[in-house]
Amino acid sequence: MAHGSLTSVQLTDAYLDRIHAVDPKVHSVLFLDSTALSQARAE
Amino acid sequence: MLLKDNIDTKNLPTTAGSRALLASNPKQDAPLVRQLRAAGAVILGKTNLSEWANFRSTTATSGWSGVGAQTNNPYVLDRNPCGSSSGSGAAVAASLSQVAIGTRPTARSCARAPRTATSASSRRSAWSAASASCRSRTSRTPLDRSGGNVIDVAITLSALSGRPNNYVSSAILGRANSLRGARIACGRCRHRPERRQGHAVHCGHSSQAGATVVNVVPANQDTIGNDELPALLTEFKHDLNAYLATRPGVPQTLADLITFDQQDPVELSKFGQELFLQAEAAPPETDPTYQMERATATSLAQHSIDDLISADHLDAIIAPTNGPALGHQLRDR
Repeated sequence: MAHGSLTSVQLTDAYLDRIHAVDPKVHSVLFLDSTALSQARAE
Repeated sequence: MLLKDNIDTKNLPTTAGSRALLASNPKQDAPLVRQLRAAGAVILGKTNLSEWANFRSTTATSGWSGVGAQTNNPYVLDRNPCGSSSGSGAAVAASLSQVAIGTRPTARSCARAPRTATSASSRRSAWSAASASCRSRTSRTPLDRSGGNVIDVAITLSALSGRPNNYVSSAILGRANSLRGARIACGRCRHRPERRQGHAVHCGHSSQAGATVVNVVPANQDTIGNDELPALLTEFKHDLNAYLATRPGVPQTLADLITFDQQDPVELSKFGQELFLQAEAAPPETDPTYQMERATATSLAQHSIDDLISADHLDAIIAPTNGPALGHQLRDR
C-alpha cells in the first residue's frame, strides 16, 4: 500500500470476498459491517 | 479488521454471543474501537466467541454461542478453535482479515488458547480499555497469523497504546540475533508431554535469535486459581449488571439473563448456565471474604511474575503453548 500498488478499498473488498467464500464453513464472523467499503474510501 | 463480539460497537450488534443482547446495539463504541477508527482502521465486522467469553457454564464448548453456533478450526473443520476468542483466532487463521481483536478476561489464557489452536500470533499488552462485559480486567489482544504479519500486530498495538511505532520498530527488528543479550524464561506449567513440543519450538527460536533461555516454574498457580474463581463470580455479577445498565432494550440484570436463557429455545440447548447461577448467588464486592480472595489472587499472580523476573534478571517470560486442537464436544441436551 505504501507503494500505491494496493488501495484500502481493494484490500477491504478482497477480505469481504474471502469472508463470503470461506466463512460459511468456518462460522467465525457474526456480523458484517455494511460500511466497511465506505470506511476504506474515507482513508 | 474484525472485532470479538464482546467489544462495544454502536453501528453493529454486540452480543457476547448471547441472543439476549440482540435486541439493541450499544450507544457508543468502546474506547479501543474509537482508537482503532481514529488510527484509520477499517472495521469489517464482529466475530463469534465462546458465549460470554466462556463464563456461563462449567461444561461449555469453546467457540459455541447462541448467536453464532459453533466456530470451526479452519485448518481442520471438525476440530475446535479453542477460545474464548474463537472467531477472532479462526478468522485470521483463515485470512479473513489482516488483524482481529480478541479479549483476555483474567490472568488466564483466553486469547492465547485460540492463537495456539489456529497458529495465529498474539501479544499481550497493558493498555486499559474498559468496555463490554469484563471491565478493566479485560485486556484486548490483537491476533494475527504468525510469520511476517507480526508487524500488523505491532502496528495495532501502537495505535491502541497511543505510542506510535513503539512496537513496530521492535517487530521490524525481530530478525536473527535481535534478542542478543536478552534473558527469556520458558514457564513450565502442568503439561502433558504432547503439549511440550510447540513450547520447545518457541524456546528454540528465542535461543537462535541470541537470547539466553531459562527454564522457570511460576509459583502458587493452584492457590491463585482457587481464590480467583470465587472472586471472579462476585466481580462478574457486579460488572455485568453495571454494563447492562448501559444497554437499554436488553435484559438489565444477571438474574434477567438467567430467566431469558431458561425461556430461550437455543441458549441452553448444548450446555447449562452453572457459572451464571453461581455468580448470581455470589456475595457482593463489600464482602470481606471476597476482598481477601481478590487481594490474595492478585498479589500472588503479580509476585509469581515479578519475583521470577527479578530473581533471574529476565527480559520476558514465554507462556506454554496449548496442545493440538481437540474435536468438537457438542451434544444436544
